[in-house]
Order: sequence, then C-alpha cells, then structure tokens
Amino acid sequence: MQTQCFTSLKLNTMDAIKECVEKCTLPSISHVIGFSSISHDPKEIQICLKEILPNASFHISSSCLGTMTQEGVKKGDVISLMFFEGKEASFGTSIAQKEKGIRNIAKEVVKNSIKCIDRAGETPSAIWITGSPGAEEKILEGITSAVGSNVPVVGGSSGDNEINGKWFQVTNKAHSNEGLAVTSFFSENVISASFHCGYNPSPYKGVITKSEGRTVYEIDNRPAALVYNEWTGNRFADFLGAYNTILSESGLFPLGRKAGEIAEIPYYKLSHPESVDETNRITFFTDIKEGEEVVLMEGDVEELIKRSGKAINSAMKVSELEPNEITGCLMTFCAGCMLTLDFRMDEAFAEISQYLPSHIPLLAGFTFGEQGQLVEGENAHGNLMFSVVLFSNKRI
Amino acid sequence: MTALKQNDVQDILFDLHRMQKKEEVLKRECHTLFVASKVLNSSMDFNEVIQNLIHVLNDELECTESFILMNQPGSDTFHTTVSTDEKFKNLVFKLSDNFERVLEKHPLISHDVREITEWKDVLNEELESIRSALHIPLVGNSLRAILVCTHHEIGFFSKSHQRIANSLTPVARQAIINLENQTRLLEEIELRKHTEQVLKNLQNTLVTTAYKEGFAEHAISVLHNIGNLVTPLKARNDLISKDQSLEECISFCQNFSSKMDSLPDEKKNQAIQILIGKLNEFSGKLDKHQKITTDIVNKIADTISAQQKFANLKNTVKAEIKVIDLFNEVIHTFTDIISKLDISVEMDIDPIVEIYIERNSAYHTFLNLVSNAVDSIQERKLSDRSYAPYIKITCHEDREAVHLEVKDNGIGLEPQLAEEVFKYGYTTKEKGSGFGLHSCGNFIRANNGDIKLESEGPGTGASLQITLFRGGANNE
Repeated sequence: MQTQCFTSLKLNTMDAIKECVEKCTLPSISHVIGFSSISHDPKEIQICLKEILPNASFHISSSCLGTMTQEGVKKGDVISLMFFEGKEASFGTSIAQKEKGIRNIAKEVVKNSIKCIDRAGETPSAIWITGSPGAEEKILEGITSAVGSNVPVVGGSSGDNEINGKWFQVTNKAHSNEGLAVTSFFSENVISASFHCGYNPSPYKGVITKSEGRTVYEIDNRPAALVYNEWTGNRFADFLGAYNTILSESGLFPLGRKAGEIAEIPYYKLSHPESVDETNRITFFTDIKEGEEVVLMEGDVEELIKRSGKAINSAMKVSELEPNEITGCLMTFCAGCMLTLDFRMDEAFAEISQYLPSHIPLLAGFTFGEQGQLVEGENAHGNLMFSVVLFSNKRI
Repeated sequence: MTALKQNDVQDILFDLHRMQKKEEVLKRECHTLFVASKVLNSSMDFNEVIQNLIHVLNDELECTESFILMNQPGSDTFHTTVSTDEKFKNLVFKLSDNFERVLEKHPLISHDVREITEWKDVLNEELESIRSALHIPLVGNSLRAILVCTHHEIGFFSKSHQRIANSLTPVARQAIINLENQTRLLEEIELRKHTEQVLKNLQNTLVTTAYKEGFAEHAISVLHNIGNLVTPLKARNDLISKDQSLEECISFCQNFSSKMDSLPDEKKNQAIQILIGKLNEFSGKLDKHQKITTDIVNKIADTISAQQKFANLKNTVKAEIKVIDLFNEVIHTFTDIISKLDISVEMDIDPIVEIYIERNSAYHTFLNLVSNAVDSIQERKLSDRSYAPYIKITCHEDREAVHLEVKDNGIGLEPQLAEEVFKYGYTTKEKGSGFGLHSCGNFIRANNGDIKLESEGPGTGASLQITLFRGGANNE
C-alpha cells in the first residue's frame, strides 16, 4: 500500500487541493485521507476533491489549529492530504449524521463502508474513524458489534480552533459538522496500530460516586472539582464555583481510568477535564461511569515530547516493522497536548522523525479525543493520547 | 541518577509483554507445525491425515469447526472433502467473487458469513449458529482448495489466526496433494485390477471357447473320420446289393422246384450239387463282406472311443507304430473303391520305419490323405474315363525325421492354393467340408511335424508330403 502526503497553505480550497494532487506522483490515487483547518469549507472540499479526483474515495476531517506531516507542523489555514494507491489494497468510505441510537448508526456506517466496495461480510484490516466529539465509546461499541473486536479502530474526534462546533467531516458521499466518517482498509500487508499516553499515575486516586455521561458530580462522595483541585495542589482554586474552561490548564493533569494491566502494573486511558461549573462538577471529553476508579495522571512537557515519538516506536514494535517497511503513517495527536507543547511542537516532531524518517509519508491531525488500539488489542477512546496506524509493504 | 517513571517502567513492561506474546505466537506456530508434521507422518491414509490436520487446526485456533472445500478447475462449485463435523458433509458452495479471490491466494476473514455471497445459499438450520469464518487458500499445481475455520462469534478471527492457519498451509496442501496422488494411484490400481479381471474373464472365455471349439473340432474330426469310413462301407454295401449270386440261387431253386418231379434222380443230384456250389460261393462272398464291414465298424468304434477319451479329458496313448501297417489298413479300408476305380496303388514304404504317435488319429490322418487322393482321382475320372489312376505312397526316414508322401494323378489344383487347403473350411470339392486336411495339418503339426501339398496345376495330380521330426509332439 503506497502513500504520499502533501500540504498546502493556499487559502482557496481548489488551489490548495490542486497543489497537493499535483505534487503526488503515485501511478493512481484510489483514496485520500486528510486533515484540514476549519478555514476550508467542508462542502467546498467535497466539491473540489470530486472534481479533481472523480474516481477516488476520500475522508477528510477538521483539525485543531493546523496539521502535522512528514514536513513538520503547519499551523493556520492548512490542508494536508495523504494519497493512497489502490494496488493490493481496497478502501471503502461511509458517513452518517450522529443522532440518537449512535451505536446502530456506527454499526451501519462501518457495514456500508465495507459493502460499498463489494466486500460485504469481509473483515477489514483496519478502520479509520473521525467524528464530531461525543459518544465515542458508543461508536466503538457499534463498530465492535459490526466487525468484532479484532480490527484496530484508529482515529480521532474532529477538532476546531475554539471548541465551538466548527469541526467537520467530509467524504466523497457527504459532509457534516456532526457526523461520523469511516474508512475501512483492506490490505494483504501488515497494518500496525498503537495507542499511547505520555502521563504517569500520581498517588491520588478515588472512585466516581456520581456522574452522568461526561459530567462527573462527585469523587469519593465530594464535589469533583474540589477533589481535583486538592489532588493538583490547589492549581484550580481560581476556577472553582463558576463555569470555567480549564482545557488548557488541565492539559498536564488528566484523570486516568484503568484500561488493563501488565505484570500487575496498570495502564490507563485518559480523560481530559474540559470545564468546571457553578456546583463544582467537571465535564470531560470522555464518558466516566459511576463506580470507576480514577487516578490523577501527571505529565510534563518533556515527557509529552518524548512520548509522541514513542507512540510511533510502539506501533513499529507491535508488528516488528522496520522503517524501510513502513509506507505511511496516520496519527491523531491530542489537541490538548499540542496546545500544552505550543511552540515546542517542533521538538515533538523531531522526536517523531527520529523513528519515522522524513521520506515516510506522515499525516497527523490535532483532535479532541483519540481512538486507538491498546496494548492487549482492545479498542478504546481516550484523551490526551497519541493514536498511530502504520501501513507497510510487509506481507502478513 | 534519574529515577525511572512509571511510564518508562511501563515501556519496558510493554516491550517484555510484546516479546512474551511473540514468543507465545512462535511457540504456538511451532507447536502447530510440530503436531501437524506428526500427523502428516502418522498414517499413509492421507484422508485420515487431512482429517487429523483440521482437528489440530481447530484446537490451535480454538475455533468451532473446520473443513476443506475443493474445487475442480472449470467447475463453479466447491465441495466439502473433510470436516470436523458431520454437518459440513455434502456442502456445496457456488463459486463467486469472494472464493475466486481466495483462490488467487488472498485469505479472507469474514466477521459475518451471512453477508458473504457464497455462504448465503448454504446456511441452513444446522449452520445458522455460524457467524465468522476464516478462509485460507490451499492452491498449487492443479489444487484449488480452501481451508475454512468457523466460529459462532461475530468477528472472532483476526490476522493472528490467519498467521497460524498460514503456517499450517504447506503441510495441509502437501497432504491434499498426497491424497490426490494416492486417490489417483488407488484408482489406477483399481482400474488395473478391473482390467486384469476383465482380461482374466476374457481368457477364461477364450479357454472355454477354445475348449468348446477344440471339442467341436474334435467332434467334426470324428464325424469326418467316420464319414471317411462310411464311404468304403457304402461301397461295400453297394457291392453286396449288386451281387447276383443270391438271385441266381433263388432263380435256380425256383426252376429246380418246378421241374423237380419230372427230373431223374441223377439230374436232381447234379442240380443240388450246383445249388450247393452257388450257395458256397455266396457264403464266401458274405464272409468277405462281413470281414471288411466288421473292420470298418471296428474303426468307427475306435473313432468313437477316441472321442470319448477326449471328452473325458484323458490323454490319448501314444505308441511306436509301423507306418507300413497303418497304410496297409488304410488301403484295405478302401479296397472296394480302389478296385472300382481301378486305381493302381504303389507303396514304397520302408517296413522298419516307426513313428511315435497316437494310433487311431494317425490312421485317420493317413486315411484322409488317401481318401483325398481317391476323391481327386474319382473327380478326374468323371471327365476322363480312360486315364489310368494311381496312388503312390512312399516313406523313408533319416536321422532327423520320417518323410511320407502320398502322391496321386487326380484332378490336382492351382499351385497358389496349396497352402489354403490346410485352412479350416477350405475345400476344392463340391461336397467337401473343408475339415479333412485342416485336421490332418493340426495333427501333424501337433506331433512336431510339417505337412505340405504340392501340385503343378489342375489335371496334374498332387503330392502330399509329411515330415515327422524326431523328438515327439509339440503339445504333449
């Protein structure tokens, strides 16, 4: 499965897409996966891509503030497209509006993505998903009910610049601001995935005693924000008792929920606190259920820089891939981490390049929630994480 | 020294965990291959081998059932050859795009077989619990087979299942090829056995037919020989019936009776003496007739006895026979006809020459030769009453063989037909059977001899030459 990835900073969508397509030297383009800043209109993206690549399927999603490719991090008005050649691989896309009954919608979207390329009933090698933030856990359940739990599901929740719902998803079939887009990959070669976090558990832990969806009322029977503030050494004292976004400040202090353990040492999926309210409830970017044990996770910039590269390295190790066997890399990079790293994102890119030489096509979007395959093969949704999928020319 | 953070420890643990998993996979693959190779070497019955192999695979993959589908090139259906469960027996899958792709060496993992075209037609009540399936191609040479593993959970199979199944593929493929070869070999053996049986039956039929034909031929031979003997018997009968002696006696008696009262005693005595003389003469003739007739009847009895011996499958008895005795008997048998046709018979036979042969058959053979000569002369006589017929019989021997010749100056035949006369059914006579010389030829050849007929053409007579080599018969 050969890929190439290009970026354009042109403001005009048609010009930007043309620039990327014109740089592409693949013998044919069967499929396109892309990340775009919200400066490009999703409808325009769909029209332009259909016009320029009438025979290709595509799956584009919005990204927070910019994108990252093998050429580095580009912020501002940007569109980055990864082109896939169809030799020895097939790609099916589908999209649906996220509505009530999202589990079934997710199930149908995946089935349609398989059916549309006449592979009904056949298990894909990997699934790439992007959707508007929310209900990701249910989406994963829906996908599992369709194809089982053995297919790596990798992707991220579409980001925008100000968390104000300007995110979008585009495929060759439709575009949406509240949608779920899916690409099913079929390949005879190894596709490897990893899902990583760059945080360490602290000694602070408690049990969720009251919650609803993504809002946690109480931890250990006390207002959640008060407990969280205590655990973080009074860092959030100024935000208590009123509605405040704490997205940026909480970037290094997510809560961890146990995802599994190896040698009795647990590993976690992360929940990123988004805001506190008047009653000291905390809203997260993931569901948190009553009865779940949560641990305060601690991170630092150095660790995040290092971890972004290790996420790539981990995906290589999972399938014992050598750099010369990798033909492309898709990544969802938590927008929260990106914001935390800020001007040091170049260092994170350098860390990634250490494992992934610059000739290997890379496309990363900054997302508001990541989905990926954990170490034991289970698919999960988390925040402040790095999710990676590597394509290769290595036969299974 | 910086203390290790839990993330770093976790990295190490993840690496260890991955290595452990890899080791487990390798161990599993090794174990699968080990068990598979043991299975492969466990039996010469490859059907059993494949059956065991899929059971091994079933255990290793922890799947519900496995089976192998075979497709003949040019056919659009797949049939179950072996399976871990009876319910898969006699399944027929119709070939479509999915299986076509598998045959092109692209394994297919199906999370839900109810959506796979090929499966839709075969899913019945028994198979309704099947959800996911793994399809591994077993192709090569003329082999078009698919190994199928099934499970009742949706999406049970993963790429790691595919890897394990793949590791078993070469063994399974080899086993199937061996099975095919074995089947072909068994079919060939069966075919050969069948052919052998057919040949054996044919041989038996031939032997039976040959026996029957031999028997029939012998019967014909016997009838022919009897026929040969009937000819002089008939001639003798003609002579008796045409004999005037008895009629003369009767006429004399009638005359004598009517005149008896008037005749003087002296005349009466004379007449009685004449009558006694005539009766004595007639009685002598009758004795002669009786002797010849008895001889012929004895020959017929001998001939019938020989047939009975053959019918009883008893070997006929050979003995040293003087050739001159045999020919004397033959000529004696033909006395009347020879006399009737005024044939001059010359025998130049060394009196000490003996042949080791079955007497009755030899007698009939020579009888045949003389009979042919007589017939030939008789036929020529029809158109040329004035010619002087002869039969010349010579016999001498040297160190290697006894040489016999029966020569006549009868009707003769075209030289090119000389070889044809020994063939069954061939005859130059109007009422001939085509059996006599054929039978003679068979008998002479069976006694390590050679027979040939020479003639310079019609009207020049013929010479039948027999060579009996020393050393006995060919077919004793």
